[in-house]
Amino acid sequence: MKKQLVVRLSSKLEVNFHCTEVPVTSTFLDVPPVVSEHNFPILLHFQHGALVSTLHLSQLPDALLLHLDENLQFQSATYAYHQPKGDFAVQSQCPFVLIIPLPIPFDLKDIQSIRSIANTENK
Amino acid sequence: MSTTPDKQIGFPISQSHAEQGFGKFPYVVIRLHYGIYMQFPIHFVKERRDDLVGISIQTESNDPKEQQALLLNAIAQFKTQVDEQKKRFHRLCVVLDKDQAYYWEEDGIKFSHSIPKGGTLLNSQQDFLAMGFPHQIQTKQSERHG
Repeated sequence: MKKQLVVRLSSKLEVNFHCTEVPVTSTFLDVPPVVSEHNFPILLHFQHGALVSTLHLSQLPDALLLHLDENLQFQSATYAYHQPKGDFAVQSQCPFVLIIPLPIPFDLKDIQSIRSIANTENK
Repeated sequence: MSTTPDKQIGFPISQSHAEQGFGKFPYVVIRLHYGIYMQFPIHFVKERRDDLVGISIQTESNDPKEQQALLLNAIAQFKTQVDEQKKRFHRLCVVLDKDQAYYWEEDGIKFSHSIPKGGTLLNSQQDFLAMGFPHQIQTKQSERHG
């Protein structure tokens, strides 16, 4: 399902990401195949009900993971840089993780709010 | 527009223009008309320099991540100036990579995997930079400012 997320910055600029929402029912997710299938940007929606999700990131193209609460508000971020080999994973307690490709042209500390406009298309 | 190497139509960005920063990520492209674009190189500088062509962003940082984080605000200011000068809304984007750009549309800034390419590429003096070729210089590794 497609979803449009609007990132509002403290400068009042608004950045739109037309992303694919991917429901996740397992506590472990191998992220690179998901990115290969859907391409950036991706909104992971964890629906397993457990407290923590593990995101396996090895061989992921350079990306930024924004961890968002149930209201899509920005909680924390993970930079995934240059990791062609070896195992690399992060854990998240957030129900949503927005994954966008690096580089990003704004500062994370300038993120004021994130909102979803509407489902624009069904896949 | 290019076909086989010995039957190319048009021309790519020249070495002399590349030395001024054209064709290196990140850069700004304004769409003037259908198939006609204007490119502005972006330079990250520690001190003000008047000898550079394009958009200069002043920062003490050498970290590309920190430099790139300044882009949207700087380009927004640049766009305001250009729009006010010409008294119209310009379709503009900042191109970060061969498949990443942020477009200024009437209803906001939009991320896209599609970047402008081909057509006729001009600089701000309306000199031809490239025609029928990609708007970035072709290297084994994408060249990048910052």
